[in-house]
Amino acid sequence: MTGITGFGGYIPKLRLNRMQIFQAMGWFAPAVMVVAQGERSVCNHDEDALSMAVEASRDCLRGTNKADVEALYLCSTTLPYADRQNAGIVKTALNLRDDVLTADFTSSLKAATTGMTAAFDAVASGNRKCVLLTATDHRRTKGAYFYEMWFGDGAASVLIGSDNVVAEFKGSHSVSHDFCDHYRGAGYTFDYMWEERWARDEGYTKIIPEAVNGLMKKLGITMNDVTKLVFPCFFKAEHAGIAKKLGATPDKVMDNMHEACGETGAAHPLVMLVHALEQSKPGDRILLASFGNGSDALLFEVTENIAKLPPRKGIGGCLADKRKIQNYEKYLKFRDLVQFEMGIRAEAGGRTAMSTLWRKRKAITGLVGAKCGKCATPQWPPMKICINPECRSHGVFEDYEFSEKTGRIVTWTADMLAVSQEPPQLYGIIQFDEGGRMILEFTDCEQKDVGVGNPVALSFRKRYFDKDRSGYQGYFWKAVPRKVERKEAGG
Amino acid sequence: MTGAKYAHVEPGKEVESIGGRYVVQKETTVKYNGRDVLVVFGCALIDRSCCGAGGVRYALVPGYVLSLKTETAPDGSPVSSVEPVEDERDREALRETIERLEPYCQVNFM
Amino acid sequence: MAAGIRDQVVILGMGCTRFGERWDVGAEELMVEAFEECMEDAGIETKDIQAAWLSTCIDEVNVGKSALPLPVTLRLNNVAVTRVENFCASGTEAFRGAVYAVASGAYDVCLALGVEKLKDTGYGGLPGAGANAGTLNWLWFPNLTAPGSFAMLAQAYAAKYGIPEKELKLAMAHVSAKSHANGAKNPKAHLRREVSIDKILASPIVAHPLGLFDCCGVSDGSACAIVTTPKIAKKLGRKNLVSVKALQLALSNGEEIQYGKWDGSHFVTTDKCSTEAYKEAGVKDPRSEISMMEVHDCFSITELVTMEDLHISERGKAPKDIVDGFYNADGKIPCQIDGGLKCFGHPIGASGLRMLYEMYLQLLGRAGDRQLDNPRLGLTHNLGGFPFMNVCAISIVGKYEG
Repeated sequence: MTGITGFGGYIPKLRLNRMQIFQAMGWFAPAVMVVAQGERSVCNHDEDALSMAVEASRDCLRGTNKADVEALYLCSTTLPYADRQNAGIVKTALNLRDDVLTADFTSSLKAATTGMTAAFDAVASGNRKCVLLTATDHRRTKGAYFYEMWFGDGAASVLIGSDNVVAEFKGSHSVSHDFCDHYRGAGYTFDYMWEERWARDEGYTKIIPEAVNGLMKKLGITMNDVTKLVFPCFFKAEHAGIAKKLGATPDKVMDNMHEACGETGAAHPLVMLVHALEQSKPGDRILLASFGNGSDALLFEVTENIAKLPPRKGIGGCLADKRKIQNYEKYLKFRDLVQFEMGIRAEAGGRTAMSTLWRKRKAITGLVGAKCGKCATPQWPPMKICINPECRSHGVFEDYEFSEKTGRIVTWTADMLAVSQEPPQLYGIIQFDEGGRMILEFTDCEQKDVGVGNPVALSFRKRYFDKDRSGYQGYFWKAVPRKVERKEAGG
Repeated sequence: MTGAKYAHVEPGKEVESIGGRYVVQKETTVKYNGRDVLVVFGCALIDRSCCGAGGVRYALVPGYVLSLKTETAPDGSPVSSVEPVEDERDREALRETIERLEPYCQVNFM
Repeated sequence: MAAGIRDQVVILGMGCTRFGERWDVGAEELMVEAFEECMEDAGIETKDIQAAWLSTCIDEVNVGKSALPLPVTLRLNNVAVTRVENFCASGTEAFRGAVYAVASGAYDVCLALGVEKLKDTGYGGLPGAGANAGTLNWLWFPNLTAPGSFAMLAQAYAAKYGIPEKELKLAMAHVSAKSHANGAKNPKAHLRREVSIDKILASPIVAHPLGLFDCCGVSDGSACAIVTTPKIAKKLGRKNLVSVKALQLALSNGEEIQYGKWDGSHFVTTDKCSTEAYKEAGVKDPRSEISMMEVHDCFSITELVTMEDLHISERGKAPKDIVDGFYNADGKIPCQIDGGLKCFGHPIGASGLRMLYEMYLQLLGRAGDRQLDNPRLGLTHNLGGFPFMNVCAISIVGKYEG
């Protein structure tokens, strides 16, 4: 039996309420009111498709033995590098084995389901025992139009293998069509969209059923055999119409998640699937279809093992863990859609030394430190001589991963002078619960969330972008404080 | 219920430090729980500090007004008697009130 | 066994420029301004200088690399010149080079000069190092500033001793107010205006919990010293000699941000450095023996905590000493008697030598309106870096007894 053996998700915490968009831009584009329900997820200024992919992958891998992963497929249309394997960066952040197959599946909104089909082929062939597949997208749109309203940012991950399958893979059917409801040339930032009415009538309405019907015919089933129909379509009416045409009653149709977070591009089929799995029970048959230059349809049957999965945050957990972005202008700034004067001090930057990055890749990208072989003190960055003043032994270390460790704030500040995308800049010293200490920037929080002794967890984030040197995007880790109930002053 | 003194800084007159300067723009009272709370709004420009440059908009809350400008400090500034706002819930409520009055203020309680 | 260099080297002359936003001059002119005063004070000629030490930190925005800017500007006689840099402790580091050269017997007369021209950058504040901070540091070091880093010291100190924020802010306000009162009497200071405690307490926050008046500023300036042996100084007819009693350095080893022991509330380095300095100078009870101090008041909290790390205030008791006026001009141990970094600003390479300049003037009775009554021992504390990773340099100077 081949299938999904685990899953995870990541929707960024920030939400832009669609009415915030309308209030800012309604004077220019009043019609967007039509889709102004709910909220869309927004990457923080230090997040992108790749950082979200790491977070979703981490969620998926929790409670598993990641040494079992033999391949990592990364699926997205908005990866930072055209040439530097993005999946390789994720692999390093996750500290997977070196002898893994990594691949980027890009250039289509159906990349996730295409990647999944390839993963099932790999596992079924016996060549890969376990594949980690992550889909992610951070689609950029120009302001004041429908797409800004429809889209959200997000990522989801699945483990594909044969051990303890939670959702058995029953089969797939793919169609490929060079149907350009939109396109984006290499090196360009924004998509070029063709007429929505044509996209709906000639694209979604024809191509999704083609794949779904093809799958059902191949497997000899009908929609009566399907418990949940899962496919992305941000045109609400057409989404319902396609489902109806396919013979699915409304209770069988997975909501397109417009109000909850918006459509997350190439990630969305997987985001919807993971969310469906979180709410499923053994015996459920889930039919998944994508849409993007064709369509892949896949059928799954949930097994008893779904109850045995170790807890994870998943899509449901991320949807519940949210905070409203302060205003539309902040959204514009975080997405580089507007130019603010950052001042000369912001010019301080420079070239990244590839040779240093290579030598220190595990420590920097993977946050792998060292545990002293003599005194067992965890330490970061890993250096040649032990930090423990009682030890100071030379070169007797083993790798020690810090990324999943939790810690507490020793001290912190809110700095109004540091160059920042969102002043004040928050940072502090973290003491890890199991040993070790670091000085880190904080993210996904406000000043009132921070205090001496507050607990933190770690998150993989963008660090700096070098636009003068072929678009180098650097990454590092930050601490995410968790709010603690405050004591009354003088109490 | 401890009393304190607040020496009013003259609005419109820059107070200079080695790192920058601040200026009080206006003083007002805000009603809270039936009492008047003194709130002083100002701006600071930090353009000479070591390691950094920036600016802030701030609201300083000396406290509940006990008596307004009834004394004088040695340098001639009028001095009021105030009761500092100590309770964290009161501070939180006042922060929200101030945010509605004047957005993007750093709110500091004396 | 080495016992230090107490009373082996004396200061023959010193000079110090007016510190400030010196739009009128560059580093070259500043060097000459300090040098001319120093040479006149020392009563020697350029050809008498046998070796020199140049202190400048952010050379890329002022003089450039190597020690060459010094001998080229001052037209020295092809002598040995060394450039030193140890962040904000560079000034004391240059002094140390010159003093050890004389103490070792390698040279008779040496020059130490610190200069920093920070106002040609085109913007306020110190330049960010960016990728020049080191190829590895560039990959991970947080985007922080000095105000933010020292603000963390304040948070940790308050948490450790259970001091309410209001109380700490009052003590810090006293630190600043007293420095400004002192600096108002100093014609060479950048800012020469008294500021009331009320005005300090009413100022906004820059990096929580530090306010506008808790932070020092950026300035241009230069200071220099000429040192020699007591024997040579006496031969030149010098009567009252200012002697070097101790010169110590202590640097962090990474434990503060990598190991779990440090609680963030004090300077591991200053604690050790001052102990060594007192040993070298033969000081048994600093609280009763030190007459005056110039410490690195980049931030009020630095000065506050340093009083304890210098073993003068007891742990947790510095705020009380400060508010009691112990460190005021009319207190037991006047601190920042020239106004400190709060009034001079901080031209990085020059500050350590500017501190020595005031101690020197005080010991010779030449401090004008700021003159203290018969001071015996002066301590300078010059700190580079951050509370969690730093260079601490301490000097003790006093009347020559030999």
